[in-house]
Amino acid sequence: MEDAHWKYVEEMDAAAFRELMLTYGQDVWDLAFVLTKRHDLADDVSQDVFLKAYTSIGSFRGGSSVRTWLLAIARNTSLNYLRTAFMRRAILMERVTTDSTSPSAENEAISRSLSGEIWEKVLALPFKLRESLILYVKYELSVREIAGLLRISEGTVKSRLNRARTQMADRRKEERAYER
Amino acid sequence: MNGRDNKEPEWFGELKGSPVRVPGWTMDKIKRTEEKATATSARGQRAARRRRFVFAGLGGAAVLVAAILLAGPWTHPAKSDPNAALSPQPTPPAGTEMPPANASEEISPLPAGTDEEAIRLERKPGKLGDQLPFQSGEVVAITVKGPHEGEEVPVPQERLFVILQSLWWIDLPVAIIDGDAIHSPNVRKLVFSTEKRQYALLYDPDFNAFGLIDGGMRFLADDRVWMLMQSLTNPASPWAELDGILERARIELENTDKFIDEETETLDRDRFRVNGRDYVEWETQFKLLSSGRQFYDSLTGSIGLIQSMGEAVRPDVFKFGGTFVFATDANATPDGIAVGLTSAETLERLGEPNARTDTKWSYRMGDYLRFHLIFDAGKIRYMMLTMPA
Repeated sequence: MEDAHWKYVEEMDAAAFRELMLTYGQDVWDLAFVLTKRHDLADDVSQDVFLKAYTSIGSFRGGSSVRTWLLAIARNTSLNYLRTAFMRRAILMERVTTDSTSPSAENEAISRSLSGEIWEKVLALPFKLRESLILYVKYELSVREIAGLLRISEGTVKSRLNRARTQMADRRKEERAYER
Repeated sequence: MNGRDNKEPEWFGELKGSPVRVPGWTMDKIKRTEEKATATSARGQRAARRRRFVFAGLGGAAVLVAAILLAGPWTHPAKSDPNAALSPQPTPPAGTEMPPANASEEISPLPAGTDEEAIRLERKPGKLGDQLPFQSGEVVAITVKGPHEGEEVPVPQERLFVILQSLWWIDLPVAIIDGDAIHSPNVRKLVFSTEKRQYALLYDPDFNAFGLIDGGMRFLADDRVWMLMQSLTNPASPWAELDGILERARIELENTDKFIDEETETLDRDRFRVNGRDYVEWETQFKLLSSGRQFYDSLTGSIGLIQSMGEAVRPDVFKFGGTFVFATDANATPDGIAVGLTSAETLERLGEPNARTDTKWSYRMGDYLRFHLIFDAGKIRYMMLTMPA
């Protein structure tokens, strides 16, 4: 379905809903996975994103592309999931520790599922750098689009992208030096 | 890099595909989502039918009661205070009292000037940005006018995005509050200038709410607009001071190449408890307060509270979206980190931060930088605890 068509849709029928998920589902899931670093959360986030799209397609006015609209919902939903998980863990007095010298079984499983070593480096970036980098590189959004989606200034987007690129370059350099 | 950067490193190409070898979004998940959507839709239709039935029943009963009352001895003219809020508002946080308007002056609703077009909006769901008569990129200036004629303050260029993005993401049905901005004694007019035209909207700092020039609607802004507008309209307030320093830290961060030091160790999170409390426990403390200024949280699509604790003139703690700010030495960490400590004393007790600029030092808890120290003139001016990301 053409992007422009969606802004005239007030309610989604089954066929349109299926098409939306087939067309944009993997994009949404990939972003949720990169932000949450968890397969199960990416599943939950993706489902939430499309359920929200299903009920609120009538509110989409075409100010951005459908994909950008869905990515914005995915980003916010991912962040909300992470924060809710944080509050729940703190309330239940569970301690989540990250020890970079001995990856947990979960981290190892995630590592094995990745499609390339480059993604390990991306997932190791701090959240704010990671989200900016992926939106720019993988989803090819402009700096302005990213600023609007993340509600930050364009200067901050550029700064985060520069720092992300620097950190990625440093890690790749270290890896190459180690391999020699 | 405003559009796209032509000098992209070759590893960019490796990020165009999926991060996982086996696609995470499968037909199975599509079908489960469809089932859930159908179930949600069916529940919604059943609930709507029940509501119609109940309303029909109540409507009939109301007609009967009205008929009895009108015929009986209980009829009397209703008295109402037109100025009473239709729903209770939390009391505003300390330090946000606006300079009072002169009570003897006639209140002007600041109508649109001859060159200004009043922004008109409809109360419908979806991004408010889709209803605005301009794109955010078209706005070259925003001016804050009022409350008295001749008074005006320009919004700094580097902060235009704060107001524009707040407006863009508002979901009106959620953000609308009772009342009308045109009746507020401290109301300001925001004039948005593009190359071709000017557009006008109201802003009521007493309620942190935008309003229409012609009246009829008032809707909440987010917490960052609130703080920016305190800087512009109430510069003596403690919130304005906080906003100024945080803005300085933000600009430093934009201009720094290296912020995070990967080699610095991560400290035990208990060292970042402030007065023995972590973020969640401080959240619990603030829930006990009834005071606060509402704001529209675009991340959650709900209403939050901007709050403070302590004396009106110099609060001890501020709270806004996902952040606690400790502004006096009334609160300290187990290592004695508190407002007033020098950078040397801080280093001695806590060691190097995981990330730093001149103004802001940040320490990691788990995967995220969540404990922050804001320096001014070489000493800690604020401590902050934030939510992840």
